[in-house]
Amino acid sequence: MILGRLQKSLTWRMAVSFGVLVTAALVLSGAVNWIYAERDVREEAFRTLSVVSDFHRDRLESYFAERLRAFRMLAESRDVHDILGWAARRAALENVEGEEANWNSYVLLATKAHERFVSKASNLDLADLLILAPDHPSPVYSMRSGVKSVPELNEGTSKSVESLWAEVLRERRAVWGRPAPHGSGGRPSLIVAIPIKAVKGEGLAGVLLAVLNTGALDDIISRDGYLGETVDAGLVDEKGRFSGIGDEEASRALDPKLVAEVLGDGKQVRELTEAGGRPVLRMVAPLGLAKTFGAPFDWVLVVQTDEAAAMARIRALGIRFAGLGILMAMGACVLGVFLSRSLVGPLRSLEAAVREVGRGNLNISIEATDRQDEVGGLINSFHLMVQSLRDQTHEILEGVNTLAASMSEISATAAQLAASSTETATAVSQISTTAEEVRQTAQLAQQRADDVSKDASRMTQTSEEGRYVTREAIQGLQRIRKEMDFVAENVMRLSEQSQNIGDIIETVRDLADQINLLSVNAAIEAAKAGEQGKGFAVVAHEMRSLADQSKEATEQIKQILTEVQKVTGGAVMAMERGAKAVTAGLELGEKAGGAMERLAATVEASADSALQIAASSHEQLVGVEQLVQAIQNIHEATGQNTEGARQLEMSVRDLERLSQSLKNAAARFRV
Amino acid sequence: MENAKLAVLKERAKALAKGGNKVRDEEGEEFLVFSAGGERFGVKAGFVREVVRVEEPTPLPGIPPHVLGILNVRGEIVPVADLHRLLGIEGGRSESVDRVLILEIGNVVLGLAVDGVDGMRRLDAQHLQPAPSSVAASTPAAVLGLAANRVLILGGRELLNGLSSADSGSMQAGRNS
Repeated sequence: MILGRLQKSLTWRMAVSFGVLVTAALVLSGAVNWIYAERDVREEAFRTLSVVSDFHRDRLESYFAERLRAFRMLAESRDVHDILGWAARRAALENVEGEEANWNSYVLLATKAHERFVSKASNLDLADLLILAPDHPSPVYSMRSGVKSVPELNEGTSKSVESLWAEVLRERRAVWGRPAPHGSGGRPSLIVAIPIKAVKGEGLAGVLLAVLNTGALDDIISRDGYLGETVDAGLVDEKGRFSGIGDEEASRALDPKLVAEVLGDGKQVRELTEAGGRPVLRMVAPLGLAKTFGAPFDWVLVVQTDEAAAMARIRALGIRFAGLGILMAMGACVLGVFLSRSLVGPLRSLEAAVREVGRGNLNISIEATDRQDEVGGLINSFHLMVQSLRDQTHEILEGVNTLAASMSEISATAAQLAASSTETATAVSQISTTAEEVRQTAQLAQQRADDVSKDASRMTQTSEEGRYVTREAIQGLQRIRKEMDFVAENVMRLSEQSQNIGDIIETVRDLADQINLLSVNAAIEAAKAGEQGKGFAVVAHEMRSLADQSKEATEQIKQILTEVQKVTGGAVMAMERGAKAVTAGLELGEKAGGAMERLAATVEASADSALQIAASSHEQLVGVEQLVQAIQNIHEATGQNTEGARQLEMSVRDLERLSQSLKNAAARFRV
Repeated sequence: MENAKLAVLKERAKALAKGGNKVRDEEGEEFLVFSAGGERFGVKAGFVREVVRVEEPTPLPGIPPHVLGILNVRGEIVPVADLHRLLGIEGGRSESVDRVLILEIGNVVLGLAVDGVDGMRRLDAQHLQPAPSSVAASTPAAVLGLAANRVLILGGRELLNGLSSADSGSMQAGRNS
């Protein structure tokens, strides 16, 4: 509920804010002050404790020194020697009887000395005073027993007395004994042994043992008045135990280690600790008895005070501070309420007006005020603002209408632009594809042209070889023709010769025929001759057989000749044909040579052309590649164009919508 | 029986071993064998004066058909006859006359145109076989018979007689050899 009010009411918020602010400032400054003040107060308390501790220590030290000096003076006084003389006399009396007159004077002197000792005892806080002769450790005089009787000591005391006596005789200086409970109350007493110098010479006349009552120490350290009753002071021994002097409270929950540390470095130590269920500020300082006086023991002075007591003042201050703070916070709240009153009234009327303006109603009127402060300025400015807003809104409305009309046209134009840009992109894409194809074709053409160029160069070579071979072939054919002519001539001659042979053979055959006939006639004649013709008949028969053989031979030769003639005729014919063929071949060869020449020329020309084509196609390829690159660039640019046009269209559409919404928004205004 | 057969076989073997030449040498006479119109003829060497080679006999008008013409042999005029026609054998004579046999029987001289002359042969004229019918329908008188080796033996005188009978009154038959 309070939160709701805070959210809705400026008055509440201001009141609470003022209160919270003041409270926070107070709390913050209070806390800081508290922290620093507490620290300072604690420091102050510690400082006070330190001062108290130093004071006590000085007091104790001077007390001990004073007493020691007093005892030394006492040891050098005549009274001691009187007592010693008395004692020596008494001893002599016990051994040897006689000289009564002198004894009385000794007794008188001793009695006077005793009286003086007793009278000084209360001033010197002496509990007892013992005097020992150098030859025996038992005391010859005790202040408590007086001169009437011989002093009696219990066993523990006589032992310590004996050891002190021996040490003094050995060391020839004042020696302190360990504190021991002496007398009633459990309060310890301190024994100091002083050497008694002889009147003449360096030797010792005896030992003076002063038993010091520690009640005086108690008085010293119990005397305070700096911080009231809250300071406790006490002495503790090396092990942290209460020595019986001062307040026992001071030794409660004391750490023996701390004591050892303090004794070790001889410096005072402070601590904040818990003792008896409450926090205490404690200061521990060494007395330095061992160092200063050569005592076989040492005491540590503990001074402590309750923290609560030390902080009591500052706590009271804090409570007063808090009360004042609450009052101030309440005042601040009230002030806030009053301040907000003067703001909230005009603000409410302004808020109503602004709400009207927010609804679009600019026809409201806020009267100017004559307040001179910021609120007055706000109201006047709001008045001016509404007026100028009215004017501006009027202008805006007109502008919005114009804008809406223009936007419609722009939108249409942008749409057309996008469409045409898309078409352009498509066309460029096709061109790009085509260009790529052209590039590939050009590449192919270039490769082909290179191949053709190579082929053409090979072809040139081949045609050169062909020309050479053709020339060789023509020359060969010409030689063949010569040989053929020669052969034909020979064959013709052979044919004629065979003709002649035929004639000869015919003649031979005729001759054979006639011989045959002749042989027949001879045979007839032989037959006619009868027995006488028998030999002739044989001759005729032989003739006839010769004729027959000749005839057969001629027949054979004729056959062979016929064959030869046939073959020769065939050869002649073949030669004729061969000659014709060779002539034809020669003609053809010459024609082929001419053709080869022309072919070679053509091939050379075509090789040149192929080279040129290759070069041209290479250049063409380079050009086409550049073209493709250019078209690619155009393509990309067109794509960007298209994208831009699309974005433009979209933007224009957005603008149109915006202008429409502007128009709608403007329509809400009532001017 | 066996012995008889063996005797005949032995006889034949002997005959074969003897050969024909010896028979010819010892028996028969010298014949001039020639061919005409595909047939072989033989005539006794005694009737033959010589064999001449002529181009063509000179034909004469008015002479019998079997006479081809006349021939001048070393100044002697000799008539030349066609053997086929002379013998009455069917079939034409040779186209051209090459050889002419000059037969001389007594004082009659006759040329006989033949196709070729084989030469002299010794033939057994005593054991002649009848001429085959292939020569003529009726064996002419001039053909004496068929000798060995299919040689038709011509009789000189018969031949001249045949000529004279065919040529009436020109020649008288001579003496038989």
